[in-house]
Amino acid sequence: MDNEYSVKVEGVCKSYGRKKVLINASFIARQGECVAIAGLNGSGKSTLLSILAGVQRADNGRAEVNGIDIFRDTKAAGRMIGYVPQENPLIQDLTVKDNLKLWYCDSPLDMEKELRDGFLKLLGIDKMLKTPVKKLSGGMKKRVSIGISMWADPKVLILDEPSAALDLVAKKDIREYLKTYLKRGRTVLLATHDEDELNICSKIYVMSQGVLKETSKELRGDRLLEEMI
Amino acid sequence: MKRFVVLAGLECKRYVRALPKLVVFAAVLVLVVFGIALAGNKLLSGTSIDSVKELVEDITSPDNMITDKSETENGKISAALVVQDESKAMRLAKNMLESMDSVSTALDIRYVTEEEGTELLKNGDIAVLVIIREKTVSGIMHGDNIPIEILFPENSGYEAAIFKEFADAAVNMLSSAQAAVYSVYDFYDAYHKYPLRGDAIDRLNMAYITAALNRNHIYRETEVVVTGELSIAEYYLCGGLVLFVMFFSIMLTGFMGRGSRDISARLKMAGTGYYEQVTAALAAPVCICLLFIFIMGGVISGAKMLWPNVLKRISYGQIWGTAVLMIPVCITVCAFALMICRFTEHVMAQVMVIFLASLLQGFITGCFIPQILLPEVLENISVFLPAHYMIELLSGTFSGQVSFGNIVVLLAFTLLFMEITALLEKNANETMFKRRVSEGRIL
Repeated sequence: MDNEYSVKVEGVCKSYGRKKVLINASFIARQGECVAIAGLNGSGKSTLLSILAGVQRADNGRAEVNGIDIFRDTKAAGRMIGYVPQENPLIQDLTVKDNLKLWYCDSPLDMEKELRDGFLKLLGIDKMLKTPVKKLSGGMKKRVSIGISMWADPKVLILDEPSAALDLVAKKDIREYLKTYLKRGRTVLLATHDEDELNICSKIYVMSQGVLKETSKELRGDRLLEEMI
Repeated sequence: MKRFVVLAGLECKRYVRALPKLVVFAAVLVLVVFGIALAGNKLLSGTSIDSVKELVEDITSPDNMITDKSETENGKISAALVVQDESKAMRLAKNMLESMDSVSTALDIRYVTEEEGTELLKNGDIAVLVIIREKTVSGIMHGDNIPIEILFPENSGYEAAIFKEFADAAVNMLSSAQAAVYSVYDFYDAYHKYPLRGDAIDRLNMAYITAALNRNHIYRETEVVVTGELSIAEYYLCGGLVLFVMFFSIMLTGFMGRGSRDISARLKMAGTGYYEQVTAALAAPVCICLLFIFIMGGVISGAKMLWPNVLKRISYGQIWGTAVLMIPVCITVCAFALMICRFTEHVMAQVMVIFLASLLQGFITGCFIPQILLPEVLENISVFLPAHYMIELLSGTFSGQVSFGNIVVLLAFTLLFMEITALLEKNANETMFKRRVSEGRIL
């Protein structure tokens, strides 16, 4: 087993009918790396991330996390990968604490401990436990989503445009949290347009019409846009 | 397993938060179902009840089978006969009929012309008019089979069912008599004994009429009611409970709809499969339904304690036995509703489908009008509907014949609905993403 990399994706393809969404997507992410996948709306970023998170199935291809084939061993994959989709996967009628309980009931982590002085406290979730999710702002919901995705203490965190529709303060808080997470030797895969988020990434891939290719991590602005187009 | 238990508990919590709204809806529904019982009683009795008090006493009276007091002052049904057939056999049948105690205790018969009979029927002075045309008897013998007409007024109730029994019995008797007559004809023809045929047939007619009309022991021992072995109150209680649960499930559709697809997929990856998720989603509405059923049981028991004359035919054992038997009923109804809610995300479509399915099932299985008064084809269809087994199961509490086979059938229906729901959940992810792609929401 090759321990140099945390995530290895090879030749992943996905079509919806005749529409090819992913064409032989391949990349590698190492431990402690934050890999960004940039691209225009409709380029295939979210589809790739949802496939890696196990929410969708690829038509073909292979993906490994710490040497384990996540397309075959979905149970192991569920415990190794934390996923924060664009639309927050929260039960709106329930409180934040109830949403956390649903996931942390079977977690290797102690939810109360994390709320006291762990990453849940770092995300600020301890202050909103009794609030129904439907009354939270977008930024708060995103924090709760991230907190929930951490239930299995995952080695890889996948986030799909985490700062979309968030204010500057919330964006900054989430970036700070990701930096802390990376310092623990974990891996982050990030679909983003946000230049501030690109700045914390060590590698940038550009998705264009279903094709993924690595680009310089220094690219920004119009030059990055040219790559996407 | 742990997450399954937590999920089921959280689902229950969602419903409990909306309990006040559900209580109001349940109260309205009880009134609606009571209205259906009212209409059903009017149908069976054929009269109008002026006050609710009269109705309650009417339907809860222990001896309540016939409630049309204006037609049964002396306990008999008024009938008129128009006999146009002057044959010897018909005269014989008339004489026998008039002398039979079993007929004279049930029917108040008068012989009239067709015009008089039609007038009496129109004015509501009689409950039934029977017209026997000329040459009916000879027609039976020759195979012409001129129909005997049985006419009822509008809004006839139990009389229709009772006369159906009379008519069926008469038809069975006449068919076997007809077969015997043909046999005698063929027998004498075969031996060329043509002059002896007439006398043989006369003696055969006498034997049949005597045997057929001499049925005192049957009329004395058997009651025929449209509600079978149950009283009207018991009958509509069983149907009403099933209707209540089916219509109540409409209110629960707001909670049964598909939540976040991402949650469902992630739960699957975390080890809580689709079947477990469906079971957890089913547990909560079932608990809510049973909560209301047991509350109703408590209210009825309390009413029985405070006013002992109310529902005196129904015992405490039957009340709580029925409540317990409602468990499989609630599970099946909620499983069906959950399946519909996961089949389509459109709330209006969910409501309409469940409403129509409940209405149709209720009608076909006799919740509104006793099944015996409906066309036979509907009775044949009803065996494919879960509501049929629900009503049979609940009826068993009152008839003393609880059939656990009905529970098995309801369990099979439940498993079928849950299987379909789990499959829908499994395929929903792909469908959701395809939709999002087509809408341009994500790629």
